[in-house]
Amino acid sequence: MFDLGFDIKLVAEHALLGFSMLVIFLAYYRGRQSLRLREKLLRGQQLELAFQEQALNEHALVTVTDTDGILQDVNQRFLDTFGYKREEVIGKPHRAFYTEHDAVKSDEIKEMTANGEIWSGITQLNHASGDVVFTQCTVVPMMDENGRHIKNISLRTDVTENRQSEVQRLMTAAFDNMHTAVCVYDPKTFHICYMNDYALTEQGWTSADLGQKTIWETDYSPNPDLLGPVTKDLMVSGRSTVVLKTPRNGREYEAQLFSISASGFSPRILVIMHDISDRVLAERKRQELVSVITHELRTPLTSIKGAVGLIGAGAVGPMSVKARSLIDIAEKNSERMLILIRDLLELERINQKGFEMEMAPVNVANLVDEAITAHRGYGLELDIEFVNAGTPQDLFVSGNADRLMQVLANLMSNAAKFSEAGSNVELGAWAEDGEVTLFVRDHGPGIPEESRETLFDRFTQTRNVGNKKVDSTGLGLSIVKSLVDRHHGTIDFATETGEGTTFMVHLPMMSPKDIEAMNAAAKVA
Amino acid sequence: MSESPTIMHVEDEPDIREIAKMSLEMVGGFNVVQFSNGAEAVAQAAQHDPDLILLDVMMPGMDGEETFIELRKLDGFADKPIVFMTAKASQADNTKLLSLGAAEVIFKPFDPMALPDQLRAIMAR
Repeated sequence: MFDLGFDIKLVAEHALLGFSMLVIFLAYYRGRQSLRLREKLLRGQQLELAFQEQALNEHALVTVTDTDGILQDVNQRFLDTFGYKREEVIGKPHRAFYTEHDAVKSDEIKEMTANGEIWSGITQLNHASGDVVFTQCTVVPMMDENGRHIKNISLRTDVTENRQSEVQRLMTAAFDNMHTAVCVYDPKTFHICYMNDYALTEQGWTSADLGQKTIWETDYSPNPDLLGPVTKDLMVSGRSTVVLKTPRNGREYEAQLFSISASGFSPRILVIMHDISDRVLAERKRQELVSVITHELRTPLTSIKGAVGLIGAGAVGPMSVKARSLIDIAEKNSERMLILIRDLLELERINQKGFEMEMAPVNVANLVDEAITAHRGYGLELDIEFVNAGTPQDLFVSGNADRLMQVLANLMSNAAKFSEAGSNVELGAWAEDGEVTLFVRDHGPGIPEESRETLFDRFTQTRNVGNKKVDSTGLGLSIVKSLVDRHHGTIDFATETGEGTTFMVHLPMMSPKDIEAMNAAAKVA
Repeated sequence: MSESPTIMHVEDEPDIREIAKMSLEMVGGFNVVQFSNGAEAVAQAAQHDPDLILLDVMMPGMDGEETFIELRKLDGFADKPIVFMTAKASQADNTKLLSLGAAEVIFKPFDPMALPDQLRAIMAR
């Protein structure tokens, strides 16, 4: 046996150990290398994320809400844009920051994102100052690994300026295309802020001139003394419009002044000029026609009636029976023509634009009683009795007592004319659903079917039914309808052949509060 | 027996003048002086010294209102009753004429049998 001086077995064991250590070392070295690489990658990703977050924060308004829409986090840009402090926002429902107009969108977003859907659109949110901020918004729901909705991230961009400038451009283009003068001025300094092209041409100015010009320098006001108080009244009273008549360049204008306010802007007055010359001319022509009717028809009628009256009264000597009969016909017909002229003029007057009635609270029960008393004599002539069929006390309507009496008088005289002698005509009123209904009921022949639709039209002569020939100009019910219209009421009727007709006038009922307010306003006036 | 009052009537319509003359003379027993226009009436009013003037409103040339103003300038005419007669029947016209100082406004067509009594009542005021 050789002895080599070392134990081969031991050498082999050491070699194995060394090899194993090398393997371990190599594995360790590779692991370290890999870890370093991963750490490097992670740092890169973190940097990338931070960079993206910074970019996002620079560009967008970011909010994070829980599934109930409660704000959990917002970025600084959001706070800066809306003027809130972080503590004023966190923990509050996102809905509270939506404008009233857009609050419903908040609910829509909640519903969609709960189902994992992304919402995108324009939203209006309130700035801390009360101004409205328009945002282009995308809301992304975040789900956990089990698909459960855990929160929402909203990304917004402020588009208020874009929207305003778009609307502004559209408005300016619209005004500049109008063939009438439009002008906006500052109610404090009276400096003109805007004038459309038409107005600039009229004044011989350019838009560059506007900075220094005041509304006083235009002729868009009837007189300078009036413009100041009118402007003040618009601002103080909060009334939206005032209309002034302004004669300019030989034509008639109406200057319409509007108080305009928009959040974030000082109040302004908008003036729009309307050329009303044609309307004024038409009204003048109508009045001339009315005057001609009045004078030119009444003058010959004066001679006819006068002559017939003198003969009829025997002032020029005695008459034969036949002559008397003919004179009676002439007298009756000239009287009829006179009533026709009167009714025509009355109708014209009621329907003209400037017709005004002094309105006051009218006690309906008193009105009915007075109408019955006033027409008792007329009823006796026709053997008709006017009867109060029931009118609750303390019913009030806003109206002109004389004109409402005229309405009742017309309806009562119609009812009496069409009733058989010896019968009653009933009057009364009831109240229902904030409305007072005044009624006049006859027991006459009823309104023929063919006349019902045109009953309130001018010159509708109806109901010459049976043996009764009724004298009428055909204007009475037109006058009644016009007067009821002027009282913001309506009129209708119920009729049955052989049974009679009930005319019903429906007027808005006045509450005690309305009456108090109307009386107080009358005292101030 | 006192002398009948004199009525001065100014009216451009001949038929109406005729009716009014018959009414005032035959029914009323007045003396009647008539003119067809305002200028003539103003020129001759003083020489007739009327007790009452009945004045049409719408007349060509000098109308009723102008005639009224000119008549009032005449000696002794400052307080004479002047009654307008008009075919215009609006309340506004009526108010305007009364505000000038007219004693009354009578609307056309008038009742020729009642006119004398109306004027007598005005003169008695």
